[in-house]
Amino acid sequence: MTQTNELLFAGGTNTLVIGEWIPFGANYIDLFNRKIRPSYAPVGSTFLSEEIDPRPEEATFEIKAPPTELIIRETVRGKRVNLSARLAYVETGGDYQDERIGVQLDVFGRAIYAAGLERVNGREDRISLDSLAPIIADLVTDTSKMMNTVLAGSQNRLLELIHQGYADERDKFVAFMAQTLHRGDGKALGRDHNPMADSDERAEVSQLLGEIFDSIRLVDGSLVIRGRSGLFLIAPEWASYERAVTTYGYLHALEDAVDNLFHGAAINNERIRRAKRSITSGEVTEASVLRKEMTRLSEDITTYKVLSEMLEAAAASLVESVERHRGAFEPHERELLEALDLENDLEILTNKVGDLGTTFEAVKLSMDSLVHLVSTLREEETERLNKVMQLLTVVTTVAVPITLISGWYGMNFKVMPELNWPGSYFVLIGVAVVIIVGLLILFKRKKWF
Amino acid sequence: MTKDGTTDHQRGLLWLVAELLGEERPDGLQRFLKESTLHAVFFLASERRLLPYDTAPVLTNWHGDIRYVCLSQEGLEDLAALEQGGFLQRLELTGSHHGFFSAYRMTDAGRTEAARTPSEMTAALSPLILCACGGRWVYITGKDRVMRYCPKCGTEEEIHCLDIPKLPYTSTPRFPHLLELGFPGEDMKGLPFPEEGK
Repeated sequence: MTQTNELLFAGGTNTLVIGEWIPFGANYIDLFNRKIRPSYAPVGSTFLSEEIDPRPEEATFEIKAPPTELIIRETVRGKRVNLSARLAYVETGGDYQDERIGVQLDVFGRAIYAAGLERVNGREDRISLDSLAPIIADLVTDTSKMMNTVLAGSQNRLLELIHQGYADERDKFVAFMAQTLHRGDGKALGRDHNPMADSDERAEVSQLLGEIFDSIRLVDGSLVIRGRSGLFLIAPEWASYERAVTTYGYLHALEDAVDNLFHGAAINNERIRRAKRSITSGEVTEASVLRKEMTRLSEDITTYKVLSEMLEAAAASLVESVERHRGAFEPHERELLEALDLENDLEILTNKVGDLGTTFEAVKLSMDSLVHLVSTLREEETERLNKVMQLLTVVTTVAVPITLISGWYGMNFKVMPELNWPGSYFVLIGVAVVIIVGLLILFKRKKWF
Repeated sequence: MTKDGTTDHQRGLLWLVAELLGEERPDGLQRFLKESTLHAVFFLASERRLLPYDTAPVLTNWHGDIRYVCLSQEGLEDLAALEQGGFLQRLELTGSHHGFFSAYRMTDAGRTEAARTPSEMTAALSPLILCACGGRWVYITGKDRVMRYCPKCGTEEEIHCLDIPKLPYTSTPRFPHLLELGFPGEDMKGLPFPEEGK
């Protein structure tokens, strides 16, 4: 990153919130809970993602990077786990970066990672938006790596499926909240200042959020900028907006997951179509060639279907919870949620999740027709095999009398009177030919070949 | 700012696009410049302070891979402004190997405008187009490697837009106040929120 344009700085206290949907469900959250917090471990105990001392008798040891350290803050069995994590990944020049974040996971798959940034690039008073972009990039990828080290293998496989192989660099919802906005000279910008009005400042913000959708000024003067990757909120009392921001973020993390699954459905449809085409075009003539792909497809479709059901449960829970808490939201939270059009987005999410179910039904139907096509191919194969067997049987049957005759004359009996008769050879040949021709006529009449 | 509303560096960018595109062939085929090449050029321009841009890592679809790439939002905004001004035409393309990517073509108005770019600006920006030996740089934006080379003298230069800068920072864990979730119909009372800042 070059820093030619350090135009805007965030000041005061801040929080960086990253959110995503991880397929948990009651079993996985319980498994995770028991993995990081066995019965003897109290709140406050530490879980390390790997053993670091393989040879205790030696003075030194070598590892690629220090293990992830998870300190248990709260666990509610089968419902949620809260941890503080110290991530240490090798960064520039071989040194490792020490990142500390709060991690909140629940049975519905809501995963929220949050950190207050204290000292960035040697500065404590304010953070340039230019510096924030690489930190967001860092935390988005590092939180993925962290979860990959502690999740069950099968859960990682689910994440791979959702993100089509890009589980490490998976997209997440990002919200950055700070108290004030400053210019490079340190002067705090007025509460009515809108960086969206200036193209350079707008570009600075879009470094964090990608494409900017809109900016909203709330009644208390707080500024919310909404972009493709998330939200940027400048509010002296930003903590009071956390619940609304994380709700909006979770909704969009769910929507991203729905979009990814929808994409997964399209990929599976394409794989099915390709397999069908290979059969109908005659490129594949043996069902066994498709066995591996069929098994994978079948597994993937079943898993996608399970994932879409988990997403449906998560979305239903969110809709229900928003409904239930509608009266409990503070007026300023309600204002923010209304400005972000949460109700509309919830409706869209519900519709999309419903469509997802239908989409996977369609994929399953398409898979069924592929299975049917493959079984037809298998029947054709069996038929071909039967014909070959029939032909072989005809040949074998025709050869039986000759074998019998040759067997007879191969026996070393002392008395075989016809051996001395001059016509015996021709009679024998004649008999054999008559038998062969007779059998062939018989088989032909029976349409055996 | 010029009379038509474009800024000086937007005009410089227009000249760069014209140079990178080259002349269109007379057979009517339209030539487009891929955005990935422009990202590489923006990165160099920003690193060498040839244009008032900076770059920051953005999660993007890079030749079909989802990854962070250092992109210049100012550059993209300038391209959008030039497109709006009728100097550039943009195609948004999809492909199984690229996902979405944009490509740009000069309009006739764009070519006329680019030809009017002041010589001092073209001289300043020419290192992005011409090698010291006078040959034209060829930009290669691969999946894992972005570079440019001069076919005349054989010089190669790496462009590090795929490397994500690492900044030192310290952070404290936070536990934002979350909306209580539960299964529909479930009594959610008795599940305390974690305390903030724990």
